[in-house]
Amino acid sequence: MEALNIPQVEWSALLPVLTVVGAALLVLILELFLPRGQHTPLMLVGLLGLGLAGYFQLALWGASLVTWAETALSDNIAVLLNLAILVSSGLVLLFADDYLRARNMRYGEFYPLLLFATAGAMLMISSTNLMVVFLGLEVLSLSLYVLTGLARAEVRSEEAALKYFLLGAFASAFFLYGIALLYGAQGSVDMRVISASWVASMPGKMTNALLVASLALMLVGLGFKAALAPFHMWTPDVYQGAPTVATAYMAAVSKVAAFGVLLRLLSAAMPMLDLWSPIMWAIALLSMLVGNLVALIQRDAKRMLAYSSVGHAGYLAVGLVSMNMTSLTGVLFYLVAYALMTVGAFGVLSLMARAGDATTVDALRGLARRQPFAAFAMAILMLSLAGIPPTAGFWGKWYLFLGALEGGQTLLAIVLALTSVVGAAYYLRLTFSLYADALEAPAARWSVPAPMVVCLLICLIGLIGLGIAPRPLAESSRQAVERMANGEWQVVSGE
Amino acid sequence: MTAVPASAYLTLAAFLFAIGAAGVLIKRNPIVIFMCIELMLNAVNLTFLTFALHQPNLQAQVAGHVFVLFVIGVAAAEVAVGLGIIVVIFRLRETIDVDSVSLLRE
Amino acid sequence: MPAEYVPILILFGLAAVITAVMVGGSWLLGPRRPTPAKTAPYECGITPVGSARERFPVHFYLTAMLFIIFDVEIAFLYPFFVMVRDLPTEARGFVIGVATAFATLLIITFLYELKKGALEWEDPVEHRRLKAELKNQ
Repeated sequence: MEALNIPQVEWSALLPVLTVVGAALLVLILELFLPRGQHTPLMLVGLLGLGLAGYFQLALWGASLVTWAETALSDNIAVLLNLAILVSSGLVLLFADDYLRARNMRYGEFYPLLLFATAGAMLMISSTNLMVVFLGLEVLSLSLYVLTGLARAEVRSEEAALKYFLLGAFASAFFLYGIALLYGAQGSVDMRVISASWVASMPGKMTNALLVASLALMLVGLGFKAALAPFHMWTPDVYQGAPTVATAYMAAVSKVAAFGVLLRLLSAAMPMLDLWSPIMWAIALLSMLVGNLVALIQRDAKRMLAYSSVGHAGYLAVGLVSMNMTSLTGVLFYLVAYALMTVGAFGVLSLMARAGDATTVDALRGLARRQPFAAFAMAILMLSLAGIPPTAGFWGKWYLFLGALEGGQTLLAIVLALTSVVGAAYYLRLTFSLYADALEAPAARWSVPAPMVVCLLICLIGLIGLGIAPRPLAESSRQAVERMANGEWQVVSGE
Repeated sequence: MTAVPASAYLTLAAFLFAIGAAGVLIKRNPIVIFMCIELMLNAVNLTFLTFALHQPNLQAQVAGHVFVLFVIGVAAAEVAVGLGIIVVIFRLRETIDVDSVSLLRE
Repeated sequence: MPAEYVPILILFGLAAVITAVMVGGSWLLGPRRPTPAKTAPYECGITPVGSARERFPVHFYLTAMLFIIFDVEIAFLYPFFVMVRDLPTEARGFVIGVATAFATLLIITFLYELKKGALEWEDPVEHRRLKAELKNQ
């Protein structure tokens, strides 16, 4: 029998994910012993866990560690994206309680599920081992299916959960088949091996074919998670049917996680660029067009944001197709900004849904009269989503645009600019209607609860701050991408 | 004894996967759709095991076997969540046909 | 290669022929005088009431769902049990540590579902709470 290698473990690289898992377990147990409906301690423990994880994550800045038998890693990309995930989950945790109480969904399970989903998303980004990525994806997805169906008494929510579940399981089967073929091609499921195996493989040979098929299948699986165009069918239904807090979470976090993996996978498959870039090109084009054009005719604000999120996925895909330093920097920057914008925008919609108001664009009319602050926040978030200059959304699009030009993808750059104009049309229409006169008397009187004020302020300060001074984040993103491109890893494992 | 060639297993797995995928697309009952997804996952397991048979070293072989265990575990978790959702829908509507699950299509 | 499978093929063929001869023979040669008692599904015992395709109480499904998760998770311990005796001592601590961490997670989740009343058949804790809440209102 061969000797068993006991992996030497650099625990600091695992600490952020472990902290979130620990917090989730603690919240799970705590929920059993609290009186029904008492959720403030759960929220506090959850926030504490996320904060602690954020601290550990920040301490890892600058390291490029691979550990635990090369299944876990920490680099600057992981730090940046994990922080974005942690912040978005923290914001959702903060404002969820009020919504759940108002909608009579006092299920304490919300909190552990949210934290488990966060741990899964972080795991996806903190590994190049595709099996670990798959497990993270499943932890994230399974928690999201349940969160989508959290409104147990509402048929809408359950139908959305069923749809999401069936299509999600379908897509993850594709992703898994891709992993299996990759394992067959190179005897390992580590992304970092892909480029070497591709270079070594001969055209017309088995390995070659397996690698191509495996990449294609994995793109299908991840494209579904990221809501890219031919695989976006679930997005509007699920975004609309799910409780709005769950939508806020899934829109931000699953996009960050999926694009984090796509970024790693496609840059690992650099030598195969000629093969996958036409596919991603078509996907990007289709996503931008379908997402933005269909969003234009939506009546419901949640559906509108859902289709526009397909459009945003298209912009991000442009960054991946261009595959140069500027465009990848743009992808990271845009993901961070996008997480803040989406959480904020769905947060405001959750205020509307909480009060029993519809979330149609018409119902948002005249919000400024009733709720000046919520309307102001929504306006800024919409401007940022549209990519109007003094906000973070603008810089994200700008880097992606520049990157596309630099990478010679002129057509994609032009479509990006044009569809952004289309996007601006529906975002601005919504913004103007906020400040127009209401069509009818509002259904209910409501106030903005304190946690929501804090959340919206964080989003606004973040977005405008990044809009005015994009350099620090842009520089760190560029640094992160450069480090990954250099491929310098400090491998900690016993051999 | 001559062994069954790997290509036979791989072809079988590919066919099972295709049958599962086709089933997902044409079937109406969510439980049947779900069984089709399970079929796809098992096709993946067969692929993993076939490739594991042909790995040069023990570590790579065992990796393939362990992946199969992971996939089985994940599939079980999916079953639980999926059936849970289906049960709740059934309680709400007394039917689970996907065609009648269309409230969201407006 | 195919030559090795010929005996199996012959076996299949024999099984089919024997079955056909026996069933076909009794069908051809046997006298048939059906009476209501003879056509009944069971010759004796209680007469069937209603259709056999009844709906099961949902408890069966819920318990089965909970069972299957733990059933499969336990399979993860299988490689551990196979390996642990043959391990060198310096490796044993690590492997036992990993297995313990895994088992702890399982136990926590088991206690969770126990406390939630998911395993109670008749009147789960949730329902009792719900009833109490309704009474208070």
